[in-house]
This record gives sequence, C-alpha cells and structure tokens, in this order.
Amino acid sequence: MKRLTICLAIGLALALVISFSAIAQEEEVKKEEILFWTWAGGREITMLESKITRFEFIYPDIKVKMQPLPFVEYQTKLLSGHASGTAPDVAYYSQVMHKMFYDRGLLEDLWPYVKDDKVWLADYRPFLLDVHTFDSHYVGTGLGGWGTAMIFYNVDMFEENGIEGPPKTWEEYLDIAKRLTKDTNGDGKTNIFGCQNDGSFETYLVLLESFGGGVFNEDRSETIIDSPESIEAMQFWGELINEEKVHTPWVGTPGGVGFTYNNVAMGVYGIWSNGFWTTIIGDKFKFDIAPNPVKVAKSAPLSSSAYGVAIGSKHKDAAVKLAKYMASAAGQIENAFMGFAASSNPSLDFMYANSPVWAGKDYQALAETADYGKLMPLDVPRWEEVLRVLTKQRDLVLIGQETAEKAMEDAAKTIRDIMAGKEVY
Amino acid sequence: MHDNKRKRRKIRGFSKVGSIEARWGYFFLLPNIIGFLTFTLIPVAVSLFLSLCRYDILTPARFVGLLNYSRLLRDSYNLNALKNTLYYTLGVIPSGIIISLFLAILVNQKLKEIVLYRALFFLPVITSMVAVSVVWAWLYDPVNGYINYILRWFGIDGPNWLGSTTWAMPAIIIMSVWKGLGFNMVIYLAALQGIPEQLYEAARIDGAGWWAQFRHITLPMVSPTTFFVLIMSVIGSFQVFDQAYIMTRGGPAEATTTMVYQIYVNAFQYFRMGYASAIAWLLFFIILGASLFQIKFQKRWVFYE
Repeated sequence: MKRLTICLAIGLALALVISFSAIAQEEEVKKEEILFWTWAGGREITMLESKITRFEFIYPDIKVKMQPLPFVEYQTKLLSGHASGTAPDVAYYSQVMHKMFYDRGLLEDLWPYVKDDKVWLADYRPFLLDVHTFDSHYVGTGLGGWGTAMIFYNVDMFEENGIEGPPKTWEEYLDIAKRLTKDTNGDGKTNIFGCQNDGSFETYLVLLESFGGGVFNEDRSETIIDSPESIEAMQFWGELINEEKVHTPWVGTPGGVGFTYNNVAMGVYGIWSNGFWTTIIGDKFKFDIAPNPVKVAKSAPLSSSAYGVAIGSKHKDAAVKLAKYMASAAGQIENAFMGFAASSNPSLDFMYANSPVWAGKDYQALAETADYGKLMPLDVPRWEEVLRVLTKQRDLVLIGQETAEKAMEDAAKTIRDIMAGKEVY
Repeated sequence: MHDNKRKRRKIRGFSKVGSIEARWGYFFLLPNIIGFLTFTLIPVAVSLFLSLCRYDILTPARFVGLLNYSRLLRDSYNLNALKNTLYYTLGVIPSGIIISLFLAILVNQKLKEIVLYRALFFLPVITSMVAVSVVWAWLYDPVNGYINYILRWFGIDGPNWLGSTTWAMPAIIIMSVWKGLGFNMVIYLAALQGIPEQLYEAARIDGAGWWAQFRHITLPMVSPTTFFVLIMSVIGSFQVFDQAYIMTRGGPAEATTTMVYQIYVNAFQYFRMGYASAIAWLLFFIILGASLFQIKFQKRWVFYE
C-alpha cells in the first residue's frame, strides 16, 4: 500500500510538472482532431484515456479521437484504412505490422522529429529505436516498453520443497521439474507438473537461442533451424513432455492455465502474462520471474509494438506529438501499473520496480534483458509463412509425432524455399 | 363495339394502376436491393475478379489469369484444409441432426417446466462463438479441464483433446454439435408439433410401438424439415472458422486448419487476396455442388404431404 502511494504520488507529481509547464499559453485556439486506433481493451483503454486526457491538457489545440478495435480484425481494418485513404493519423502497430506498412511506404519517418529532442532521446532505451528503424527510417515510438519471455516460478512451491531459487541452466530446470512433478492425490496421475513452457514464439526462441541455435543466423541471410543446437533444443523440449513427463501435455496455443492454477511449478512464459496473472493469482501463492536458463548462451528475444504515424496524415505535426508523448516518460507512467512490459524509459525503472504488479518480483532481471537480448527476427520477408512452418514442426515434436531432427530439417527446407522467393505449398 | 372499347379502357386503367403499384413495389424493395448490391453482389463480383489477380490490398491488383486456380489443387495446405473441412462436415452433420431430433422429441412432452428446458437447450445458440470456444478450450485442458476430470470418474484416461492431431478435430466437432443443437431442435420441434395426432392414434390402435411410430410416422413427417436442416448444416459446416481459430489456431500441426481458415490466413496474414478469393470460389462451388446433390436426391427420402 505504501509503495502504491509513493508510486502514485511520483506519477501525479510528474504529470503535474509537465502539465503546468505547458499550460502557460492560454490563448483560445481551434482544436485539431487526430484519429487514433488501438487494439487495446479493458484496463488498457482506461490507461489510454488517462494518457490522452493529459496529452490534451498539455496540447489544448489537439483533440484525440480514440477508436479501439478488436485485435483479430485490427490488421485488416488498418490495411483497408491505408488502402482507402482513411487510415488513422496515429495507430498501434505490432512489430510485424510496422515492417509490413513501412515496406509499402505508408509510415512517416519520425527520426527528423526526435533526433534533436535530446531530452526525449536521453530517456528512451536506444535498442527500442533500433526495433522500429528500417533502412535508417525510424517509424514507430514504443507502445510501452518491450516484451520478452522469461522464467516464471512459483516461489511457495519452490520453498516448500526446499529448492533455492530458479534454475540457471536447463539441466537444473529438468532436475527441479523432476523434483516438483507429483501425484499428490495418489490416483496414479500427475497432477502437479514441474514445468510448462507456453506456445508463444518468444518462448520457442528462448529454447533455441539458449542452446546456441535459432531460426536465422546473425544477418538473417540463412536459416539455422536445422543446426545441431536447434535440434538439441527441440529434442530437449520434446523430452520434457513425452519422455520425462515433467511438462504438461502440449496443447499448442499460448498456455499458462496450470501455472495460475497452482499446479505447475515453473515455465518460460511471455512477460505480458505478469499483469493479468498478478491480478488473478492474488494472494493464492507468490510467484517471481527470473532470467531464462542457459545451455550455451543467455537468451531473451525482444519485441516491441509501437505508435506509428500514417504518411498521408493531414495532421502530421499533431500526430507526431501524440506518438512522441505516448512514448515519453510522462506518457508511460500508467504502464508501470499494467505489468505487461519493461519500461522504455530508464527514468521510470524505479516506479516500475515498485509498482504493485512488479513489487516483490525481480524486475531488474527483466530490465537487464535489454542488455543481452536479441531482437526477434520479425522483419524477415514473409515472416507469417515462416512462423506457420515453425509452429507446425514444433507441434509435431512436442506431441511426439516427429523427431526433432526430421521436424527441424523439414522446417529448414521450407524456410529456405520461402527465403528463395518460392511459393510454398 | 361499345363493349370492346369499354373493356380496353378498363384494361388500360387496370394496367395504369398496376404500373403505379409496381413502381411503389420497386421503391419499397430499393433499400434491400441497394443493400444486396452493395454488400453482396458487388463484393462477390469483385472477389471473382480478384481471384484472377495478384493483389495485396495496398498495391494495385495485377491480372494473372487462372494462376491462382491452378495452384489450388497443388497446395498441400489447401488440400489438407479441404480434407479437414470434409471431416468436420461428416462429423458434425449426422450427429447434430440425430441429437437435435432426439432433443426435440424430448422437449415436445407436456411437462410443466418444458419451456425452461427448451430455453436452456437453445441458450448455446445465442451465446457468442468466441466466448463458447474459450470456455470449451478450458474444458478440454488435459490437466485442469472438467471433461477429463469427469472421464476419470469412470476410469477413462481422457486424451489431450486439443493437443492431439487425432482428437483436436473431434473435440471441435463435439463443441460445434453442442453449440448448434438448440437451433435445429427448435426447427424440429415446430415440425413435430405439426404432425397430426390422429396418425399416432391410428398407429397405436394398429398396435404400433414407439419405434414403429417413430420410424413410420415421425421420421417421414419431419423429412422436409430434415432436408432443410441438412442443407443449412452443410452450408454452415463448410464455413467453419471461429472454433478452429480460437481453440487451436488450426493446429496442432495443421490438424484443424479448415477452408475458411485458409482463406483468412492467405487474405489477412499473407495478403494474398487473389489466392484467398480463389479458395473462396472453390468453397462456393463445393457448397453449391453439395446442395445441388442433396436437392437432386431429396425426392428419394423427403415426403411432402
């Protein structure tokens, strides 16, 4: 409660300082209306409303019209909007969408607008500029930090079983998983599983990269999904499920049900789960996050969605102001309380670490992923097709229908065809 | 002569009135015609044109002739989706029809709370498919789901429903049958209530038992309804999408990828609008073929009074 009060007080103070400095000029001006699209829902909408209210207070000549759209149809609507000339001035763009829209010349280069703003740049993590920069064009300001996948572990379960801290290597991960996998009701069936990795691509990459493998090489000119390291990673994951039986049966879609039910001890999950899980788990048990286990290399795939400005916007200056404001410390205050990403602004790290959704968890470990994590290869051409191939072959290994070697070789063959520009059937 | 003149005047007068009425008729039809043209006929025509093009929404369409169609039958993803869709259709239709007829017979009883039962069975129909899919995905969870939990009471080790290439499609079929039961049940209920009671009375007098009455009276009398339900179910089942999209994303390993899912992926993930349109037209012809086949053979088993 005390932490929450401190955080709120700091937030309020920051907001007021910025606000009062901007309301000096009180002349009556005609409001310029900009259209803003988001796929946000629920609490995120409330958060955006709060930010927009503050933005409009600082820039009284700008009115922001926010339109939330369901995520499933968001990309389609955005495409249609751009095609018909009715695209929103500012919109959420996922990392994949950013590249796609940039390639078609539909996004404004924001670099000329931020390059001289030393204050803004000083409080913005440099790698987030890289995430949204294509051919030296910076086309998006971070939505709310960055996402990755990390170990989530049930602290109470670990302590009750005398296990000190999270695993640092995959060998330890397997060992701890074995110790925590149990049949507590004696019906001959496992009802507490030692581990469960989710179905997100981030988690997939964690396994591959920490074993020294990956989907593409450094310059993304060649796939390494069939490298011995990648095969070993997939074999390990498959064995957790099908041979060691310490991992919940593979369901495919992003999971986590077991963890929140208190019958999975740990797993690699997308960090965005933290906010929601903190709410639903409440006081049932204590959980924490930790860096991913290592075999050969530390791994943390980094991704970030962003605010983009449509190149045809009739209110470009106002739109850029909104995109910049939303990614500034003042515009990111509320994100500290959402708990689904790390802070894009170093000045907010303290507030994040002490906010109710991160308090008691190793937020520092998450912040440090910015130092060693790698950007996800989402900007390769025909990424969606690559992902479909990867998903299919991963599923075949994890449900025990294919060996890791065969599955990864099949994946590599198709990915090479895609990279060669061939149609893949 | 005079009579003929009067008759002609009368006809002219009549046709004038008729013409005014016809104009008013068209005027009142106009909103529907405009809606049909704007939201159905023109998009259908455009999709036919796009199926002959390469088009990604953001750049102008490029005419490629029949290239998209020639790819259709070589595309293993597409053939797999067609196979899965047929599997779904063959799974969902017979069970859906049999169970909904059985349910309709049950709720056709003269019981005090029968309206409540009818409402309860109809409830899934009006529930959002997205919400239902999310709940069923949770029910199917191999560790925490209630379905395997209940199966364990009977000593049955339930499968990994959505994580198995064998069970994922049956799982979707079971959910879809449950979801659609209420709709067919209501239609059957109306048909059952239209069967004259005297037929059953006469059969009973002749010593017919429950099964004989069902086989020789109920089934033939509801056969036009069965035909309607069959046609509608076939059309609906070939268009299955939501369940596969939400519960399995077409997985595991493409085991639940359906034709409409293929259209969605190609159109809105790969931006191959032309190819997606070609798949949509293939689906249209499959549905048309299935419907014509049923219409042709309905004379053999549908009895009209």
